[in-house]
Amino acid sequence: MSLVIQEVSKKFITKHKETYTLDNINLTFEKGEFICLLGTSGCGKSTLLNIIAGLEKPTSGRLFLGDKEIQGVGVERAVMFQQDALFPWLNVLENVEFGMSIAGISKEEKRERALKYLKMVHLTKFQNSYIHELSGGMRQRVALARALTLDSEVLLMDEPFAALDSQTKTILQQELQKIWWETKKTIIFVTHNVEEAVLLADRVIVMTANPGKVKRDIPIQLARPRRLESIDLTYIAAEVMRELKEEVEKVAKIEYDSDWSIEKDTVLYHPDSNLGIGL
Amino acid sequence: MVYKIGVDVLKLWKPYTFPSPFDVLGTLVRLIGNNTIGIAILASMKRLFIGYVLSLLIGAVLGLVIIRYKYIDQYFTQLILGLQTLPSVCWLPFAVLWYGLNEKAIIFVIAIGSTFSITMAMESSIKNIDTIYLKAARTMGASGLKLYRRVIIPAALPGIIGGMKQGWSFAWRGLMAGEMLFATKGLGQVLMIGRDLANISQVVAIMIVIIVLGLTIDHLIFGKIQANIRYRWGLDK
Repeated sequence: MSLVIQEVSKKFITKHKETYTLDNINLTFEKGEFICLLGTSGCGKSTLLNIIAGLEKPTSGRLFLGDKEIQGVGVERAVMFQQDALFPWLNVLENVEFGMSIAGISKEEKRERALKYLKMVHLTKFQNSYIHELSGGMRQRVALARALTLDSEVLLMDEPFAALDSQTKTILQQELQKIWWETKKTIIFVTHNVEEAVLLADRVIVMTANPGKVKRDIPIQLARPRRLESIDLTYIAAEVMRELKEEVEKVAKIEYDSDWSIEKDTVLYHPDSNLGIGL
Repeated sequence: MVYKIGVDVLKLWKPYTFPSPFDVLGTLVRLIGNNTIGIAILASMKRLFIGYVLSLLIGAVLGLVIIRYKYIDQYFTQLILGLQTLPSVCWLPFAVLWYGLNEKAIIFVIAIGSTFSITMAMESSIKNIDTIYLKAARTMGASGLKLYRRVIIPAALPGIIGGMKQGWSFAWRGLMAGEMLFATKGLGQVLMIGRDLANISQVVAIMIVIIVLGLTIDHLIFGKIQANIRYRWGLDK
């Protein structure tokens, strides 16, 4: 089942002005695709994800998953947040079982499925630990296992690795690729990190801020499993970065003093001084 | 030491306003010996228990109602905050009018004293739950009663326990106020007898009993629960 976003807009009205966080977004995601929503801060990528999750309502426009319209939250769209959002009053296993308990699945099946997914994220050893006893990376793995248990159609991830240290992040990115491969879920992954987007995605959707629009839809046709240090990946990341650069500059101009210019502080790839990268 | 210097040497206080520690100890032993204290504690504890459980129920329901309906929150939270600052003794005349000079009146005073602090704790700790828990629970299909039972209440529990502890101490105060006025049995009544007979060492002896009881219960019950919950929730580092 494909996910269709039709003319979705989101307007925030504050005292001083109206801002279009999202302005007429039209996208179609196929089943099993890995999509990254990439953009600078404030471009509405998280808002779009929340709308897909059903946690926020669009000001106008409609969304469909298959032939069903999305209205409110639903278990067919699992969400993983930047914070782990695990419940500290439950242990690891109970956290993973939470969604299944709500759905009223029998005790044996719950246990079996929870252990299966905990195994997938390599944390069966810690099934009886409390959440505060785990490191940040381990918590995100538990959160991932929890998101997988409901066999949802779509997995929505809102910068899930942004708060982790880079070593842990690299490991988890590799594992996410593998899990996506095994479960064949549609994954929509929000990030501001270009390399991460290129590493993971089949399609990178570059978004612009003020108003939030889709700037480009870039298919990434690299072989998997991908590795961060591969030259191809760096090359494509540089291309994507070029798309994003203008946006970075636009956002920074608003936030910084007027004498700041990106050119003085940059070592970014520029088409006129390509250092032979395209040879 | 303080007693010796204050009463015997400097004659700052008179012996009948400030009893010697030995007298207090003697009285304590006597009161325990003839079982006055045992009966008093039992009677007081029974009242306290009934009143407190009542206040837990009413306070919790009231707190949940306030959370559920914004309208009530707007108009009643201030009122309840005001009521909470009202010492429970002030309810005594009311209680006597409604129930007469009996057990029910004391229980009413106990309950009313602790209800509002439990309500306020319930309300504020539920309001301060990290919204990420609610979002996560909702995306996993939790809603309505299940959301309350499995997420909202557990998430607010550390705060609620704090309120219960505070409510307990308010309940104690209500109990003493009630008993000192018109009880036939109970710690407050024994204390008042001491006052009536100008037996200051009995007053102090009961005060000590009250302090020890309060500390013990606080430590054994609330302390344990709170420490347990704080550990589990990862609030203690």
